[in-house]
Amino acid sequence: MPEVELGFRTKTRQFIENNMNVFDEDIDLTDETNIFTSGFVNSTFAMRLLNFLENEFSITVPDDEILLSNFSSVDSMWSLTSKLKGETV
Amino acid sequence: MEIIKEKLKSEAKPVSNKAIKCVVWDLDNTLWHGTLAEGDDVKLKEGVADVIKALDERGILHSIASKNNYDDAVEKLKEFGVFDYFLYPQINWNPKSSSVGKIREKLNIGADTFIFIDDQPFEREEVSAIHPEVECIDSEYYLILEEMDRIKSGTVSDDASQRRIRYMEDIERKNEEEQFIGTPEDFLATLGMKFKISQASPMDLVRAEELTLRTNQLNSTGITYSYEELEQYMKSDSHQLLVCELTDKYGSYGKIGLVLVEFKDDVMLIKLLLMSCRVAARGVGSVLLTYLIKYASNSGYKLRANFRRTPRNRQMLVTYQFAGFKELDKDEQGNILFEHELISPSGYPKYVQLVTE
Repeated sequence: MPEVELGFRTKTRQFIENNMNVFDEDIDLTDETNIFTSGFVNSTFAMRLLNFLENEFSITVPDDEILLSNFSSVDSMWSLTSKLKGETV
Repeated sequence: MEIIKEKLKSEAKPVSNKAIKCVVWDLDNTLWHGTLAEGDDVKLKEGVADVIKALDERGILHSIASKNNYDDAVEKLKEFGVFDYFLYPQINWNPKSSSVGKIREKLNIGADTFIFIDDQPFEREEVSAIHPEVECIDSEYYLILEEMDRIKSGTVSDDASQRRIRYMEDIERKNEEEQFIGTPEDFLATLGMKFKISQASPMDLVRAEELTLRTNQLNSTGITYSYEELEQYMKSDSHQLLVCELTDKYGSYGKIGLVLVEFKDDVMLIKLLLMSCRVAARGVGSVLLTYLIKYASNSGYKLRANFRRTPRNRQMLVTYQFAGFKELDKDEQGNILFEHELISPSGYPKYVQLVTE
């Protein structure tokens, strides 16, 4: 896995773990875990997550990409980020 | 007085027509006569304390951007009995644009709702250059602040005079939050929040109108409604006008949410949903949506919502999308119609107790 992608996945997973309470200690957060079906997500978490991705990885998510499906797991967030990065580079 | 009013009218071209929410004062030769750091025996300008109090009662906040020694200036403000009126006073040697920026950030309200008042053209221009949305006026106009359209046009609800107190309670909350170790949700759990949803009563209408005028960030359409329109909706059989109040262990945040729902055939349409920026960091926007989702789901309605993107309401778009609403339709003007599938409605967060009437 390229270093950029690895870094993205590690940082994003950490952010989610530090900011959400919904995960049982017994449940592992993997890159495929749908973080929204695993429990309640409040609107401030959503906004924090979006701000985190935009600031940390220097992207701007346009309105039409602000979709639940783009943020449901670390995998989908990576797809979105790499797509936006690809478009801007 | 009349001459000076005319002068202000001809000189000041309002940068916006939004109701003013905050006045940022310079101190030397604006709030008081003289220059404190030069050893002058400064005296409050005539009538300035009355202006401050009158605006405070209208719900307009005050702050300070002054180049002075903090302790000396605060001592004087306390001596004059006006210190408590100022939120987040910025008394330092930084550029005033940075002070104004800091106040804006702390209060979490739009720069286009600020007035900056200073006797020095240099300072006004410096602030203006960085914050073009801020209305910068000469201190000679301090006595007629109340006469300005952007100040007197705002209606005064019973909530208004409590506004500064609420901000001060919020400063306490923030201090505690900063010292708190744990996730933001853990902190919210310590607040003992109660979220109350009720049908609007005639007493709520002034505040409801004010909310449509003042709320920009957490506002689903940005459409403002007059008192009379809201009264019609309140009385209408095919509509529901709901107001929300949030309280916690520090006190009440006041009426901070408003929803207008239209019932037509089998569709329940959220025409307007807004939450005051006071509660933007409290994670309760989704509580209201969850309540509406459950309501629609239990009564067999389809749930739809009007959404209109404004330059400021990105967080509302995020709230809708993350609550599971999907775009059903979008017209040429960018007006979106959302629909919720009403499957697997989420629960309420543990940190807030819902109260309905």
